[in-house]
Amino acid sequence: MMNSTTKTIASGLLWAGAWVATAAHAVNDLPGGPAVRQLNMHPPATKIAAEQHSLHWMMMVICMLIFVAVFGVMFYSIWKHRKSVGHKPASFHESVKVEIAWTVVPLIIVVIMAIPATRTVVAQKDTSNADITIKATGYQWRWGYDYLKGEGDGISFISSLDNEQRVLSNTGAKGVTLDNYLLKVDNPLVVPVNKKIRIITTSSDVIHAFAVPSFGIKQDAIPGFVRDTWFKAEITGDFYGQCQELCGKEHAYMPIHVKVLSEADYSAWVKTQQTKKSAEAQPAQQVAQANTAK
Amino acid sequence: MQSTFTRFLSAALALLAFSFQSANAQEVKGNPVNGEAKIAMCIGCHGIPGYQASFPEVYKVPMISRQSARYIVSSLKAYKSGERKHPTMRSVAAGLSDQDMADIAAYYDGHGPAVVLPEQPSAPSARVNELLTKGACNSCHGANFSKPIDASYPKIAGQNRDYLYIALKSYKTDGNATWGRSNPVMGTIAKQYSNAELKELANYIGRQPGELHVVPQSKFR
Repeated sequence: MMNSTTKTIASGLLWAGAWVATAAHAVNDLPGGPAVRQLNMHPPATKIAAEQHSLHWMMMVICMLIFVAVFGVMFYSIWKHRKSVGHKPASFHESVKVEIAWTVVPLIIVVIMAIPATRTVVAQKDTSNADITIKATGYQWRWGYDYLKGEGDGISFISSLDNEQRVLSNTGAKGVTLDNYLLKVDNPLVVPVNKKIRIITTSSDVIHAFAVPSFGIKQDAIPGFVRDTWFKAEITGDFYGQCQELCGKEHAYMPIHVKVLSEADYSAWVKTQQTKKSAEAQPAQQVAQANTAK
Repeated sequence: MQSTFTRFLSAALALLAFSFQSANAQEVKGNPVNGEAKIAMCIGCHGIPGYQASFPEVYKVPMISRQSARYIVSSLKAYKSGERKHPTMRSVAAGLSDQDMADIAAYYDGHGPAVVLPEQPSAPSARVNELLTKGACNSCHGANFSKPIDASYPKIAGQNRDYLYIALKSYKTDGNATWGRSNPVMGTIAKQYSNAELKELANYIGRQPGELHVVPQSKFR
């Protein structure tokens, strides 16, 4: 008897210990990416995303108010004027007043919601006067970035998921506690802070979508077409997104990682990229020269 | 005296160059077991029966299971360097190191059921025979189009017909940003034919029994 009790307590302790151990190694929030038990949208890093949040809350509040008002009146009426306490139904027909009221009131509410929403949507689509233009090309299943205009033009690279994480995913990823699980890429998209970045999206095979929730952007990348969107990050840091249009087997494995740097850091990054590029181009040039010399 | 010296020098240089080449070829040895961890993206198209590439042209993606390893490596390298242009394959190849390519190629080399093929292909029609002789296809790809004389040439018997046609046609294109293949040998051969003739060739070769397969991934782990 005594023995079994000790056993129970011991196993209980063991379980508690194991739980504490897993809790200690649990996955943490990823700043700029998903949080643990996240309920709301990502914390905004751009003005557009902040506006989207306030619109979201405004509409949520309006919806809740209408819900409470309508259902409150309905349940009160049903309860108060029930047949068992002797109420008789009203039998009127065609009340012009009521009809006007239920047309005009929703119209006013819709207009109230539409005015700020339209302002934000128009701002989202205004891709003019960008400081830097970058083309994001969706491939099955990687992202290609080409810097077209502004500081750093000519830089071009492919960004793909870290293969170790991909292999982890195949094995079921049991007990994996990486904060950036399936979001780690080899070459993140690097941009400067407080600059308007225009992203041109296109694709080389099927429809993909370029989306970064913290920036409040999402734009389809369509083969044979170009679409654009823009963002102006107001804080430095790492921000994450994923392809948001089902594009085939590895759809879940083509993350987007945007690194927002200060202006000085960005210039330094551009410089290293350009020296790397010219270093890579040099041997090819020498070969070409040797060939012509022959 | 001087000419002997130059001859000796050039021979020595040639030997040196040769040894370098073979040293390079030996350097990267593919391991099919490692390859299996790197083929997630390959399966997404080449492991789905009937999968069609949609851009720049629509055709069934080539079967690569049981394709020769050296050919897979050389084509991946050609995609990476831009010698072969295909945007999606370029992006895939750009992310692979030489070791990755060798591993993947080694994996696909032994992937799928082995087939014993007849030594000779089925008799072509007179017209196709004429076309085949003109290009001397079997002189490189083998009598049954599945025994290339060099492992860096592909096995083509039984390959998807629409892919063969598009591949042949693309050897005629050079200088386009997203489209074309610049292979000196295949370029000269393909340019002799009209597109209609290439289609006939592709249809004939694609109908021959071949070793190539599409092996879908198991539904169960």
